[in-house]
Amino acid sequence: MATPLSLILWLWQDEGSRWTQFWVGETYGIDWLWLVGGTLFIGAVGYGIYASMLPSLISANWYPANFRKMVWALCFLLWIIWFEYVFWHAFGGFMLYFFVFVWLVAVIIFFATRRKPSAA
Amino acid sequence: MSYPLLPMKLKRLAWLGCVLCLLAAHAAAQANSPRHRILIDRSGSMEGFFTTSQIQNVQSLLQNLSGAQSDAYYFIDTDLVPVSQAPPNFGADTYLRNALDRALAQPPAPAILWLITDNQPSVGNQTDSDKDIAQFYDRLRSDAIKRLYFFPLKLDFKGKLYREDGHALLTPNYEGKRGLLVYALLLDAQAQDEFERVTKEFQSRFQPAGASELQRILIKPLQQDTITAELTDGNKFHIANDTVTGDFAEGARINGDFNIKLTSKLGQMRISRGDVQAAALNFQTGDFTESKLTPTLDPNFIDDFRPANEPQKEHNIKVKFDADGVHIRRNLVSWWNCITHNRGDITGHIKMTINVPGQNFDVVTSLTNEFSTSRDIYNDASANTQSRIYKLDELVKRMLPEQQVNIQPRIGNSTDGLIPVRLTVQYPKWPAFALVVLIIALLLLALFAFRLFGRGQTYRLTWDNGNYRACPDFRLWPLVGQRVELDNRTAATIKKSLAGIRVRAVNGYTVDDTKSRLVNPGGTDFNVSQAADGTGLTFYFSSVTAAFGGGPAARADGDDIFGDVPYANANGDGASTLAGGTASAPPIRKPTTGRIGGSDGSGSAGTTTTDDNSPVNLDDLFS
Repeated sequence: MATPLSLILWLWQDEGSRWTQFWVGETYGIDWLWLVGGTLFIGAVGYGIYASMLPSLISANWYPANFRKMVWALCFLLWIIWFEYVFWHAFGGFMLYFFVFVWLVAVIIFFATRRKPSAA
Repeated sequence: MSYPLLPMKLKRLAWLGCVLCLLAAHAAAQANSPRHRILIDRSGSMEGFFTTSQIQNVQSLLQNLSGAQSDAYYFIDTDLVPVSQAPPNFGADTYLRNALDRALAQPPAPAILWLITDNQPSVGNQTDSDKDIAQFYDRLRSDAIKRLYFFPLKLDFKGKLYREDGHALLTPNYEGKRGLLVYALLLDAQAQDEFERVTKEFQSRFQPAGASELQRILIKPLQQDTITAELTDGNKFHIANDTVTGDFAEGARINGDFNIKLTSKLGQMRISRGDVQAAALNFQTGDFTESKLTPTLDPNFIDDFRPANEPQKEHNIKVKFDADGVHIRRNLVSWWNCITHNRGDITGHIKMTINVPGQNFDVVTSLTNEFSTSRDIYNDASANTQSRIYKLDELVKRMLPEQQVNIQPRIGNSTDGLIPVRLTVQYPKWPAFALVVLIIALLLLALFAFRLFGRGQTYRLTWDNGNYRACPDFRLWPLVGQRVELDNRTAATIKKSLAGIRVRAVNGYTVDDTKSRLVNPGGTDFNVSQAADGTGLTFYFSSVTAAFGGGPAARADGDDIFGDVPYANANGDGASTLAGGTASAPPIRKPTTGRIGGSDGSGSAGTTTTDDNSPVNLDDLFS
């Protein structure tokens, strides 16, 4: 019991390193605007990738839903990177770890629920 | 042939130019540095200081501190003689006023004047001596002297002491400490920094044997740099780099306080009582509305304010603020600053003054006891008298102002009594939130507009398992519906709304046993039937693109992440669809249940056409 407690305290304390610091810092309004802008940009890029590559992938016997999920996962990953770039000073490493965990779970779910195209 | 010489000439010219520039810069620096002038009393009463080399030490140190822009003179009787041309003998009389006047008149005009004397004028008799020194003090009080320090010294002396006539001996061989006074006079206000530097240097570097720390006593002006104010944290206000800071929320009351500890830098005076005043000055509220910041003081006076080298009571003053909160200004710049910053600044100063009536200044007794004497210095050869300076206390008293003095305490490096204040006020969050919401709302609006107006999809309505089109392929516009006819009567309308495409039954009919339902452009079957007997037909609605791409597969994916994306069968045979492709559009045939006109139950004959260019029925526009 002592070890987890000390680990939590170690993680909790302000060490000055954002990678291990559990501390919610100050955010600025402009950060949220950057986040909105980045989200839109990533969404547009994702949609562009999807729309432009879909016909050729269908011809290559891809299932569209699988491709959508893949593009979604890619966009989510880009969004996580952008989020951390914008909010590193405020949320630091722990938010990154949380998002990466969510992303991994999503990818696993996508992989497990992927569809197989019919042969005919 | 002369070409090879050209680089050499250029090089020489460049060197010459550099040298000239350096000389010009040096000359400019010389011209800009303030001139010092050192006056040394070389009357007979000073001879003993020369014997012990004390005067030479003082002179040497002052010349070192003053630099190249200095000159030194002896005043001997009524003459000024350069030190380098000093005669071996000493003068008979001392005329301090005359020496000062002549030194001021001697070109080039000095900015800083040093005067070294035993302060013992000898102009014939005691009365004349007092008269001369009184006139000398009047000169010191005049506006020509911008700033005045003096340094009372007790230096080794070995020699003759004279009576007031300057000729008769008091004692032929006095050996011991004797009082000497060094005056430092600032004549040009521009040279104040240099004046402060050299006087401080002199104070710290001149350490005669056996003497305690040299005292630098400010005589005038008393308005500046005579009281220091040390700022300390209080409630909600903190001190950082001699600046009062505070952090407040927008709209919240600005209330709190900080403390000021006052310390005297007057080495020789006591203030019996003075009023302390503070006023807000030049507050810039930036992005915030004005708020009247008025400081109040507790207490608002000082009393028994003694010099720092004497035991004294604490003089702590609490400066309180209590003002209404400030609000963000309603303009785009302020709102944008709210978005890009978390806090805005309110900056300004508090002007602090300590008003002391002239009668509230007193000379402290320690100065009198240690350095001053009013005894008959011309007739008393005791060390107790000779080691003191003649009528020094009177000098200080004469310098005291007769009217009220408004002292501006030194705060940090500022000598003008100004306390810098920097309040940070948290900006409201709503402008950023509103902008984000506005952007999202605009995007959603654009998306809806695109869905309503921009896509321009063509739709198809088929029946009889896709064998016939119920009408020509059509487009849907806002407020404009497409009629669905059954047995030559309008049974329903297809309309585009914000929620999607909806089929609505007219009176007497139902759509899938309800009044209306949403249909998907990817392909939706729906049944339109008469409410009375339930007879009707099943229609298939889809976009032409979906019909071309393969309706059933697209419908299967329509509920996924992006949804509503055209998708062909996995075998890539996009044209082999249930509804048929545009390349082979089914013929148009009016839908019928077979109860009228037709005999085969599949609809009336003679109405089948493949013409998609039939004119628009204006009745459809507002149906």
